[in-house]
Amino acid sequence: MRALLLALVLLITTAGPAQAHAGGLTPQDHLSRVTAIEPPLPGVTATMVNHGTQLEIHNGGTGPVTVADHVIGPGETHRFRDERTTASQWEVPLGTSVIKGRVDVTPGPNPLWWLLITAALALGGYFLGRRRALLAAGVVVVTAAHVWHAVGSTLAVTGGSFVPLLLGASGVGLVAWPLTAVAVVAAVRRAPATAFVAAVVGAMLVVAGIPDFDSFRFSQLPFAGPADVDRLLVALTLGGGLGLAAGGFDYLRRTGSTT
Amino acid sequence: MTLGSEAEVDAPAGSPTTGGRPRAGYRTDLITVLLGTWFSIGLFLDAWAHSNVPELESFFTPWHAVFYSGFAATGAWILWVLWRNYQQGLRGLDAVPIGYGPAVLALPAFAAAGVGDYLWHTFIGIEQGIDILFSPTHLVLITSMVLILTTPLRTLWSDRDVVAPSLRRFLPAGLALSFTASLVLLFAGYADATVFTSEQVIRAFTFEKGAGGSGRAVELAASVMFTNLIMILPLLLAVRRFRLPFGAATLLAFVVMLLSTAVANYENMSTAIGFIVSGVVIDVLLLKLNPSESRVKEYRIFALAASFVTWAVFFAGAIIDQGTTPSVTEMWTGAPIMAALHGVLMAVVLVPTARR
Repeated sequence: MRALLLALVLLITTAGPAQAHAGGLTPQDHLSRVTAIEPPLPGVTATMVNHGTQLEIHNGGTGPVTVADHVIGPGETHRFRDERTTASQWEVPLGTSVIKGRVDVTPGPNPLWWLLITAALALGGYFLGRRRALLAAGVVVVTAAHVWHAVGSTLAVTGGSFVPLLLGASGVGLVAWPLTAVAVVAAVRRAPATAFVAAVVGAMLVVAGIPDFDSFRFSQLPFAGPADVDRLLVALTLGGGLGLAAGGFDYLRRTGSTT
Repeated sequence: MTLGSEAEVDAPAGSPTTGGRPRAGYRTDLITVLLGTWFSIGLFLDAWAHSNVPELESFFTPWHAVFYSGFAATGAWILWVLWRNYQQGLRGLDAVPIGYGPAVLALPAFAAAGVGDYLWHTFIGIEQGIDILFSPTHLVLITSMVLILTTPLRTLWSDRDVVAPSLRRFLPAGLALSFTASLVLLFAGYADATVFTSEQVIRAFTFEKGAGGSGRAVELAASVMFTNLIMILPLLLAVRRFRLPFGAATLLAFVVMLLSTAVANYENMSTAIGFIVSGVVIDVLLLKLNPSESRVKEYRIFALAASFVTWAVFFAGAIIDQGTTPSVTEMWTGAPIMAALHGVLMAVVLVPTARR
């Protein structure tokens, strides 16, 4: 059992980045946004997408417009990266007009509070290890938080297919999510495997959540929803996962072998 | 079921175990190797993406997800096997089935190398060319992967009752051996002859004789010799221990071609078909020659013939597909002979004298 625990602890503490935000978008304190097209072009809209990293022009007008040497025909949408949009005040020529924008910088939250919440959730998760049914319920909650985070991160991406992006964002979730169903079935059958599966799913979700620590210290998160909701989901994944891993293995240690 | 002092892990939970470490059963090993296959295919997909997707902007790609989830699934399964033994009253090393010890060590090593690789990319930079194959963290990752993947081979190797397994019995070990060979070849990508298309083969050995050969000719010649060793050594190793079932060599060729076609974006299909045809011929050689440590002459003939056939078919396939031969006859007629000589050399090194 000690070897088993050691392997698990090493897996938790040393695993590389296995999951974070979809599409390679990362948390940050700055966000580039379009303020205006001057003078306005009828039917033409411009917006910063993909967490302020790409400029998207939609030509809903009747004639073509040119931006950065690219001609956008009527009804077409063009999305591209442009280094100019990273300046604090920026302009990009669009046909006879100009797209104006700025980069807003918002300080991030104090990460200590979120680390404390994560620690509290870890403690709560650990105490779920007192009963099999509680462990299974904990697994469902923590997995749901991870799924919500992955879906929210995927929906924040513009211009990619949903399924491959979600697949990329899920990482080890591809294994942890189905195992959650196994934990529930095992709990319903009162099988001793419940605690084992809960511990393994918890450990996997901690691994999945490690790269998301940045969500606690940056203000702008690539997530389709309020940033604090995403931080809570990350805290649940990390803290709850850690608690389930510790609580599940503690349950196994207390119940011992079946022979 | 027990074998000597070793208990079968696949025995029902709670069944009595004898003293000593257990040996994983067929089903356990099959699941281990299938999860390892998931793990490996994730790496193959990633290799394909690195070769064929021009703008890989993110670490969080679907193929990385397949790779890392395969690792997570394999890790969870091996922990389950240990826990099941723990439940049956086995403690410490006794809970680790024979052959599974290196995998138990390799799991955290792989995870540690993962974080090391992340730090390497952050502070030293991301490799984009041949340097990918020499990054120390990548080498630890691939080594630990090989240790995990070869687990079913160690299980079968340790079972002295198994001498001439059926293909079904050999399947977990055979898949382990085949995927390991393909991973070794993946990390020898700078000398991989399997990714050459027929047209590239013909062009590489077509040059002005007076000029002494192009860089491409040197690359193909070196690749043939290196790839030959990677393809022949697993078979020369396995026949020292087992009488291989018909299909083992074809399985090896098939799995290696899964990788090489992915890396070459499926443009080397005629080359891949040639390797699979060679696999079938090598299976016939295994059947007819029955090479083993005690049959040294047949062992050496097998090494010579298997290497020769592989590269004769390789060049014949390219010639048939392109409808022409390379202009330098010495190169395409001599390369299979050179490979055959290397094969014999390996056979002599591996089995210097007959085992009495």
